[in-house]
Amino acid sequence: MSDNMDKKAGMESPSKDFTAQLMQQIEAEERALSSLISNHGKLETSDAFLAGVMEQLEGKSVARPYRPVIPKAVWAGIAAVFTGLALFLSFSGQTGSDSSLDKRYDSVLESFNAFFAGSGFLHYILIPTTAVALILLLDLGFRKKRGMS
Amino acid sequence: MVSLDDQIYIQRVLDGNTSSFTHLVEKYKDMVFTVCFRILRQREDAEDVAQQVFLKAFKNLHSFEGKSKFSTWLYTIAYRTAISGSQVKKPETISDELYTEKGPQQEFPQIEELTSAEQRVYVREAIAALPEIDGVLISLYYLDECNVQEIMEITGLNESNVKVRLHRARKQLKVTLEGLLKHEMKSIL
Repeated sequence: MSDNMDKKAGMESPSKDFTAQLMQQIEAEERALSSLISNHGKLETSDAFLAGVMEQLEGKSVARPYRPVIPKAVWAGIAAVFTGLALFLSFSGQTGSDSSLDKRYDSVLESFNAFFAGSGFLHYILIPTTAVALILLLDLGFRKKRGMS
Repeated sequence: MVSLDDQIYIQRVLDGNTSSFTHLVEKYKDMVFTVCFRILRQREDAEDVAQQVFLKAFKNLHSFEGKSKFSTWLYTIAYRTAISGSQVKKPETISDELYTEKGPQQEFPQIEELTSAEQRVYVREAIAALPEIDGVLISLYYLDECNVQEIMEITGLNESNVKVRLHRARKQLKVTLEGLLKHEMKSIL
C-alpha cells in the first residue's frame, strides 16, 4: 500500500493534452509520408508502352478454355434416365425372390424386348437416332449461345 | 467487387473487341510498371516484364472471375512475373538482417528550396533503398491504397508478414526522408 503511494508520489504527469498532441504528431507524420509517396512514388512507363502492348496483341484473341459443349449436368441427367429405366425394367421383370442371376438377366432382356416389340424393330433404330439428334441439337444450341463456331 | 467501368471493358475484350484492352492498359500501366520496377530495379527490364504482364492478362482474361478487384488480379500477375524474372527470392519469413537502421542518407539542402522534381528524386531513392519486396508493399499500400488483405493476395505473404514489413518499411522511410517529412508536416499541421 505504502509502496504504491510512494510510486504514485514519484510519478510526474505530462500536460493534459499530451496524448492528443502525440497522436496528432503521429497522424501528421503518417499523412505526410502518404502524401510524399503518393505524389512522387509512382513511376511512369515510356510513351511507347501502350502502343507496344497493343501491337503485340494485334490479331490475338483471348484464349478460351476448353469447356465441354454438353454440360456435365446434362450427361448426368441422361445417365440417370437410362439407369432409372434399367432398374425399373429389371425390378418389374422380377418374378420372385428365389430367381437366380441368369433368370433375372433373362427377365431384363424379356422386359426390354416387351418394351420395344410393341412398336416393332424400327424403335431400335428410331429411339437411339432420336436421342443422338436431340444431343446434337443441344450441342448446336450451346455452341450458338457461346459464340463458338 | 470489380468496378463497373473495368467490368464493361473486360466484357468487351472477352467478346472479341481487342481494342477495348487499351483502356485497361492505359489505366493500370503505371502501377504495373511500378510493381515490376520495385523488384527488377532496371527500367528496361521492368518495362519488358510489364508488357509481358499485360499479354498474360489478356490471354488469361477468361480466368478472371471477378471475385477480387481487377487491379488485385493484375498486380498478382505483375508481382509473380517480376519475381520469377528476377534474382529476388520469394520471401517466406522476415529476416532482421534485411533491415539496417540507417540514418538520413544525405543532408537535405534547403528543403524549402527543393523543387517538386528534386523531392521526387529523394522519395524514389528512399523507396529504392528498401528491400525489393518492401518497396512493392509500400507502393501498393500508398499508391494504390491496397489494404492488407489485398496485399496478401498479391504477394502471397501472410498477414503478420505484410504488417511487420509495412511497419518496418515505413519506419525506415521516415528516417530516410526525415527532412522532407518535417517540411511536409508543417504544411499539414
